[in-house]
Amino acid sequence: MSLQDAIGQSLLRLLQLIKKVKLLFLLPILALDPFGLTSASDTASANVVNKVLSLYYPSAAQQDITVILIDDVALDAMQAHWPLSYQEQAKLYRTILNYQPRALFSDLLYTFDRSTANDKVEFLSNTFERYQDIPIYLPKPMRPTTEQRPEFKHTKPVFVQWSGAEHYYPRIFNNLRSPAQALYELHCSSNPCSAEPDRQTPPHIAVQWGSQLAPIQQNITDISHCQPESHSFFTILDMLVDDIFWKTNTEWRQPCPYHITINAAQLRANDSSAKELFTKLIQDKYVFLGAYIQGAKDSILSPVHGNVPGVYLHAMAFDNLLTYGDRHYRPSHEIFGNVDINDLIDSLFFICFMLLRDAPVAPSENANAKIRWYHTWRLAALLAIAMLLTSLFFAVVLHYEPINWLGLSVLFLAISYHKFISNKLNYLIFSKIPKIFSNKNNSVRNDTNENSHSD
Amino acid sequence: MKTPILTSIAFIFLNLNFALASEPLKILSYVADPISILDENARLVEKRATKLLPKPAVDVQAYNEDLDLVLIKTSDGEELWLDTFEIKLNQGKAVNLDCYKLLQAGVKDEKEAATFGFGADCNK
Repeated sequence: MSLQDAIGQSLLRLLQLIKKVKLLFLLPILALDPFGLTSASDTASANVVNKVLSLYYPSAAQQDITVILIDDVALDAMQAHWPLSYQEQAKLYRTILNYQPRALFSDLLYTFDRSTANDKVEFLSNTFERYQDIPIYLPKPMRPTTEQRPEFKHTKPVFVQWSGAEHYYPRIFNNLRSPAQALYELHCSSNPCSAEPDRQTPPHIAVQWGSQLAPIQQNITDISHCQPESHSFFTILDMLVDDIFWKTNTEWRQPCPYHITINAAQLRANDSSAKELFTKLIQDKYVFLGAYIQGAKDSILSPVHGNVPGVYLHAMAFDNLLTYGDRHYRPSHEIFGNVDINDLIDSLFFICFMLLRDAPVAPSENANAKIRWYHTWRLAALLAIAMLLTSLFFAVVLHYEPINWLGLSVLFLAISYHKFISNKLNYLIFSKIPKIFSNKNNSVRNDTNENSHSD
Repeated sequence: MKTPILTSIAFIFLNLNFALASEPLKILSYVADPISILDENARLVEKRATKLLPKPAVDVQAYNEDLDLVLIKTSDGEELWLDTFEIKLNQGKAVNLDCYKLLQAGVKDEKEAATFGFGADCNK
C-alpha cells in the first residue's frame, strides 16, 4: 500500500469517526453554559426534585424555630408606620425577649441612624444590653461602614448580603457567619452535632424547602388558604403535570410559609391564654424576626412557595443544618475551575447517549428504519430514567444538587425526535415520492401505450 | 315593678365602673422576681428582689405609654421605672389574641419595582 493510500485511508477513518461523534461537539457548549441555558435547566431540574422532596421533608426541627413577621397587616393593627420607631422596635424586642427565646435573629438592617430627640437609638441598645444573656444576632450592613455600630455591642454580627454563591446559601462570607451558621454553632455548643471537618470554608447550602405546616399553626393563624398536608403520589403527579403544563395550568405551590409564624401584632395580646401560647412558641426556641412591607419588600424565591419574605430563607437554611447537620444539601464537588461532579456526570450521560445511539447493538444502517427509530427512542427513554434515578441518588443519598436530568432528557428526546423526523423526510423524499411519481409515470406511459394500441 | 329595680342595678353598675375608671393606677403584684429596675430610657439599672420593693398595691407615679414603663416611689423617695411586662396593674388595655390570616406567598413572577416615599415621621 502506498503512503498516499495510507494517508487517504486514515483521513477517511477520521472523517467517519467525526461523522459518528459529531454531536459530541455539543459537549463544550454544554460546559460553557452559553446564555445561562445549562444553568437554567440545572435550576429547573433541582427545583422539581426540591418540590417533590418538600412533601417528605423531616419536621423534627420545625418545632424549634419560630418566625415573627412584621407585615402591613401588623402595621395597621399596631397603628404604626415603616420603619418602626426605635421605641416601637424596643417594645417589640422586649416582648419577644421577655419570653426567653434560646436566641433571636433580627432580619432588620440598621444602616443609618435616624434618631430624633424623642426617638433615640438608645432605646434599642438599652434593650439589647438588658437581655444580653440571650444571644441576639443582628445583620452587619455592607454600607456605609462595615464596622459594628457601638450601639449594638451587645449583639453578634451576621451577614445577610452576599454575592458569588449563585442560588446557594453561604455559611460563611467575608469572615462573617450567616444567621443559619451562627445559630447552628450556638446550637452545637450545647447539643451533640456531627463533626465539622472544614469549619473555615464549609460548603454552601442548597436549601431544601419543606411544605407541610406545623399542626400548631392553625391555633395561631387562619390557614384556610394553605395546601393541606399530603404525602400522596397523586400530589406528586399533580405537581409534575402542573409544572409540565405551566402555561395552561395553575402551578402547584404551597402558598404558606413552612415555619411556625406569629404576626408581630399578635404579640400585643396580653390575656393569659395568649401568653401561655407565646411561651410555648418562643421560650427556648430559635426566633427569627423579619419584615415584609409593601414598598420595602425583602423577598426571595422559593421553588416550593413562590415569593416569601427573606427571613424564611435564613430559617429554612438553619432548619436544614439542624436536620441534616454537615450532610446538608450542597453543590457537588468541584473538580477543576467551575466544573463539578454534576457537570462530569451530565457529560458522561451525553457521551453514553451519542455512542450507544450508533453502537453495534443497534440495528445496521441497512436495517428497517422503524427498528432504528425504536432503538433511539428506547435508548433516550432508558437514559432519562437512569438520569432521574441518578438525580434521586444524588439528592436522597449524597445530598448533592441533582444532575441536569431535565435538560439532558429534553436534549436526548429532541435528538431522537430530530432523527425520527429526518428519517421520515428522507423516506418520503428519496423513497416514497419518487415511487409515487414513477407509478404515475408508469400509469401515464401505460395509458399512452394503451391509447396507441387502440389507435 | 321590674323597671325601677333594673334602673337601680344599672345605676349602681355605672357608678362602680366610674369609680374603677377614676381609680389611680396601681401595681397589684410583681410577676417577675427579681425584677428589672430601669431608668426612664428603659436601660437596665439593676435586678432587685421584690421583697426589697414596696408591698403591693403600689401607686404608680407616672406611666410612659411609648416604652410601656411605670414609675414608682419607694418609702425613702427613690424613683424606680419598671417594665409593665413584669408587673400586674389594676388597669390596662386587655388585648385578645386576634386571628390573622397566615402570610400568603407571592407568585413567582410577582414584582415590586418601587420603594415607599413616606417615612415614619411623615405621617405624624
